[in-house]
Amino acid sequence: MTDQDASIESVLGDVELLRTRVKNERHGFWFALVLFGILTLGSLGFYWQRLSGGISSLHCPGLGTKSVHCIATIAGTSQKVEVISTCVKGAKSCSGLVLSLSGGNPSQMNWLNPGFNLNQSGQWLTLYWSLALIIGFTAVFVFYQHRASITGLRVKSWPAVVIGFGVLALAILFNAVLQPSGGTLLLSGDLWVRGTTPILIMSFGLLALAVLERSIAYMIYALGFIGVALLATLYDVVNFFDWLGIGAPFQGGAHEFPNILLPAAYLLLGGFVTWAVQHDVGVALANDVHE
Amino acid sequence: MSNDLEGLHGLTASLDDIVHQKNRLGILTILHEGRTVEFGYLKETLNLTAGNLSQHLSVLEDSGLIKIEKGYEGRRGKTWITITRAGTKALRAEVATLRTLLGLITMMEQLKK
Repeated sequence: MTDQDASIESVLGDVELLRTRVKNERHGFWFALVLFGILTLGSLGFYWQRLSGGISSLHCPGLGTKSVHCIATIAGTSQKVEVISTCVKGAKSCSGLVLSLSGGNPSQMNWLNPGFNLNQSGQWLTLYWSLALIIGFTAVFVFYQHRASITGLRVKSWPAVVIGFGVLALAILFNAVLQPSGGTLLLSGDLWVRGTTPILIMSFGLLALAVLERSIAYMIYALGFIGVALLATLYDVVNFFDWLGIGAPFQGGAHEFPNILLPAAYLLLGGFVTWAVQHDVGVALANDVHE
Repeated sequence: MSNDLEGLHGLTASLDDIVHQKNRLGILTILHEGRTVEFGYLKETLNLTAGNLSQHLSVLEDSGLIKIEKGYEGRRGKTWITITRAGTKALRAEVATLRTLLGLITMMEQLKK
């Protein structure tokens, strides 16, 4: 290798080293992942379910040994209820632990999860998630601003906050204003019934943040989270846990817990791994500079 | 071989003097990756004095490769610098030329052997 070679190679090497260093010091995605992971985990208590005293009658149209759909009369309105049932062959009615309920009343401030209103907890869940999402997105914005003033590298985070608030406002608007007047649930059914719609709202904000971070890896991870959020919204994750052989602790009232634990674990794991990788790259770069 | 040498001279001539200077290349690299960067970060990362960095920034600003914004954060004055489209284009062209040069020199070395 000639001096000319070495000099050009060294300039290109320096450029690459600078790029890696700035990229590593610029990223703050781990914070959003950890924060939203904690907020998701914090909602767990709202998903504990017991047969509500408000259910006055249950009729079992089908047969089943584990979980069946029943028609319940709650406050004078017929609603579809899924229960861990004693509805066995020949039985005319079912009773047991209510797992989920669709077609709930979007009034009573239960705007984010209109299909999820067991134990009268729907409105509290809506309140929790409304506050959690507002606080979460605001905290992410404040974190990026604070970080910019400390490191000297500014990442534009406000568009992600606007998208998060926008999707939240749309969900509330649909359920609080448009649905009651229309009489039926817009996008009714599974999208609202498990009470996990806020996790889906959160996932859009996180994807926007990953795009603003200009990291392909973050974008892929955020897209993966949209997949996890859709799964938690449209499917009983406990079935998957059962299939893995770890579903036993989640029977009965804890039936809905896997729908919260899976996205929370995904976020927390991603947050800690991202932070650890960033930290290790930072240490390696510092060692390179000192050498 | 003479064709290679001509190519080498042509490439060397195409290097932009403003961007090619080591510190300015560093400034543009940092700005390209960081988009909006504070004066202090550039100073510390490139290990330059404030006066020296200011001179380089003036050259780059005069050429339309960067934009400088001065503001306050509380009582402290802060200077934020961003790269322009022309700056991004100039940086890409510089790095591409350097890579081509390196490839060409390596090839000539192999032909000599």
